[in-house]
Amino acid sequence: MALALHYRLLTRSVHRGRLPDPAAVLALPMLLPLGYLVWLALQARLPDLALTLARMELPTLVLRMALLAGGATLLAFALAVPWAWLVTRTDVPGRRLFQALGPLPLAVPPYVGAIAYAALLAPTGLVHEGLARLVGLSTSQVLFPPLLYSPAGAAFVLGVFSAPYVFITVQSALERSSPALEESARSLGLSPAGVFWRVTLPLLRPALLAGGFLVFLYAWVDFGVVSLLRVRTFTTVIYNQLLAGLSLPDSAGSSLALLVMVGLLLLLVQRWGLGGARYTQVGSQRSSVGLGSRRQPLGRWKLAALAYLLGAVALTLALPLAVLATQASKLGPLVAAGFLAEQWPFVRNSLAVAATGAWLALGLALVTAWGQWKGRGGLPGAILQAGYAIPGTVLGLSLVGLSLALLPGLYGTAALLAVAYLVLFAGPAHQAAQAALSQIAPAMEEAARVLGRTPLGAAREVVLPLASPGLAGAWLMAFILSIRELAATLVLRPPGFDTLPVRIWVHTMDVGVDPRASVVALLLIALVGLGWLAVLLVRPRSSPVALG
Amino acid sequence: MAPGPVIDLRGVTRRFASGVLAVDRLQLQVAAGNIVVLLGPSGSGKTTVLRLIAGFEQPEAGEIRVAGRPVAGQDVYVPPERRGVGMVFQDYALFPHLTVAENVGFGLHHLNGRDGARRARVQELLGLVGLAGFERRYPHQLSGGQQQRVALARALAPNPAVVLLDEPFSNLDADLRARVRAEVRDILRAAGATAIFVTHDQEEALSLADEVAVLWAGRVVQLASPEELYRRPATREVAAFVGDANFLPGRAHGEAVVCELGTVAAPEAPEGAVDLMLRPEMILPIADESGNGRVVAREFYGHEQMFTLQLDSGATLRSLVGRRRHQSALRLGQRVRVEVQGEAVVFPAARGGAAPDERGE
Repeated sequence: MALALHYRLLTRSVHRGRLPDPAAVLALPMLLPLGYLVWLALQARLPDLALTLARMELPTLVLRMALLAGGATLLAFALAVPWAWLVTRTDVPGRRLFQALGPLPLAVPPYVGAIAYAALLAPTGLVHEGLARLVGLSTSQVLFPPLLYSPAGAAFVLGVFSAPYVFITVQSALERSSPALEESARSLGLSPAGVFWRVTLPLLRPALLAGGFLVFLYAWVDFGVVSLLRVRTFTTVIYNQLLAGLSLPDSAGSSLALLVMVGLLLLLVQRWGLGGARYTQVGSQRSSVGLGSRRQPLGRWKLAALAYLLGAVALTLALPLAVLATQASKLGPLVAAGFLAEQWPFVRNSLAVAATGAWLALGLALVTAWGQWKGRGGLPGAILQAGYAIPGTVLGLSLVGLSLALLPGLYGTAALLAVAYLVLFAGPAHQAAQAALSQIAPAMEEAARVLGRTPLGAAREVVLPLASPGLAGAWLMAFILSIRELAATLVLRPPGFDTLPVRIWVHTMDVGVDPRASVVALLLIALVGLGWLAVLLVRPRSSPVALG
Repeated sequence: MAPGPVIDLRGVTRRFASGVLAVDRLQLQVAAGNIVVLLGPSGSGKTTVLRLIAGFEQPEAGEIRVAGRPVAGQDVYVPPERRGVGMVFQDYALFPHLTVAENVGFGLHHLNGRDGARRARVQELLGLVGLAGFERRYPHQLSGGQQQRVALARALAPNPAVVLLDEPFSNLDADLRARVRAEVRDILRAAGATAIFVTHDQEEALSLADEVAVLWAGRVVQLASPEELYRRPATREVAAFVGDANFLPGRAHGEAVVCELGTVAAPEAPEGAVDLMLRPEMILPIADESGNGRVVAREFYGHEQMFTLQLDSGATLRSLVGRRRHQSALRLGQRVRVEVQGEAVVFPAARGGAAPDERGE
């Protein structure tokens, strides 16, 4: 009886908004690393901080990063926009295959891509040695193609391997907008090219902006590629400060400078982003006529389009994988087998921390996404998204200080890695979980309630079973992102506790391009690929869940 | 059956966080075994009333009783799962991961462990809704009308005090709707259930209900049988919302009103300036070159036709004429005189004169 009364008062209070939203309560601690950074930076002695910042040659650094991120974004657009348009709007041969291949380069972490292309374009790389032998010069006299170890090289790698972000956003936008818009433009007298410039492209603006922003942000805060290619940016500088034992407050100060820039970037994109126009279609989403009859025939451009797609696939997938395989084969089968067996502890470490991090992220994401589904506002979810924008090195730095200050027992344990993955990837997990829940009509839960289920019972028997494919996808997404995370892992890992990305980094940083790095890289890609396959297999099938 | 209403709402008020007053001191009593339809335009608060009864919304003021037991009010809140009400949702909300039998049995958890009793009850209901043999199907393997009946069986299974139906026919094709409507009414009657429907479709309301409650701005403006509602609407808004209505200014004297169409019988009319409400079927045009109106439009429906007439004063009237009448020969532009058949309803005169054919959408 007392329990029932307690329950009644509790539900009543939550209903009337007297109790704080549990999602907000759980999401707020995710802001601790940021808050701690600010607090830490405030401890810095101003002259010291000024000196630190001056040593970093800020203007050069920022200019280099802007060129790097801008170049990567342009390359990603050039690769992904035609790719997405060709597979959704034209009759290019192999349409379905190229459509399926579009998101796949995400399985190759950019720092692994950097290793592959470095093997081609290093001073002693395959291309230069081959050319040198061909024309009878020494490798140092071969001036073309340029070496990968430069900001341009880093931009190239980052652009190639983050192109899928643009592909995914643009392709889903193209699928959502009806070809009828383009057809009506044709009927109003525009040429096909005119339609593309005046209708298709403007309609894609939000998708281009979103995808481009992801690429730009990723390149801006990247650590793996720039450190492997020896390009000095903010993240490598901060990492070196940490290695050099610079005082935490000073490092915090410079980290904060980087974060402020990220924040300004976000603001800029939002301001100049969308204007007042609406970009989703008004009225019925799809006409009854099948899309098949409405594809733009390519005619004599068919071969050129096919060649373009083959080239894009070669650049983003086939070439890097082939190079990695070639490099790995240099080791010889026996040595390779022995070396692979030695990797087992690192595989185990990777799986353990990534899985733990993914469970934590999914647990938190479930609470915040649930709150949003119940119409309690998106603030907790937005807080989680903020975590995704923190560069790994900066988060690592903050968690080092934070754990020492609050929970000294946590410092130097693998658990701290899982916490870092939670902060970094609860945002993407929230988005995936929220997408899964948004497919479920609120009436589903209400129907269970009037049929006698408590809120928990309704969740267990109806909502969670219905959302489970999407939730599994959310977990796998957090898992994949965690298992390939490098920057925060490097800073936070306990001594002797290496993960696969750390091993790749060690093998590459120590001795330049090393066949063993390629072996570990292929191992990591295989693990990520397996996870990917699982995502595809559990992807929600539309027909039954769309009901109601 | 306990005496007194099964559903009893007194002074119920619901104001949303946005400040919108969705339900305003609403009174509603529903007797056992009755089918009541809440009819109102969108935004009139009718769905909110349903959600208040089900327990998905809480009133700021007033009291709600279900089967005599207070379920919402001052310091009382019974959650939906313990109210003993059934609900059929607009999109049916059938659980797509459960079979038809599992859906219908979902509310029978008090029979957990008594599989025989549970199965028997599910069978009984599937028989009632004419879906015996569909136990193992999944919802997406059923037609819209079948899904509708599964939803009804599921709601009825636990023997609720009342079944709430939220626009249950809005997802069906027009030709299916009338048939399913009749089926649903028959099923509810056979089950002896008390039911509250919500709809904005006046034809649906009139054909289904024992009583119709017309909602306007969060209040019940009239609660009456369908015939009463049609013949004697309480306000101009109700008159215009329920069926077609013609309004003409006139002057009442005794039991009659004098207007452009001559003298019309109108019992209970107050003395002085009034507005007359005439249903289209009360207005009969007769070809007459010396008449005071002419035909400006004609809509032919087969068994009957609707004429739009314009009087010389400028007022327009809608006139519904059956097929057997010789008026089928009326041509566009033809001059007519207008006869009124039956008794008019009278409202106090609106400012600004006559407003012909107001539809309250």
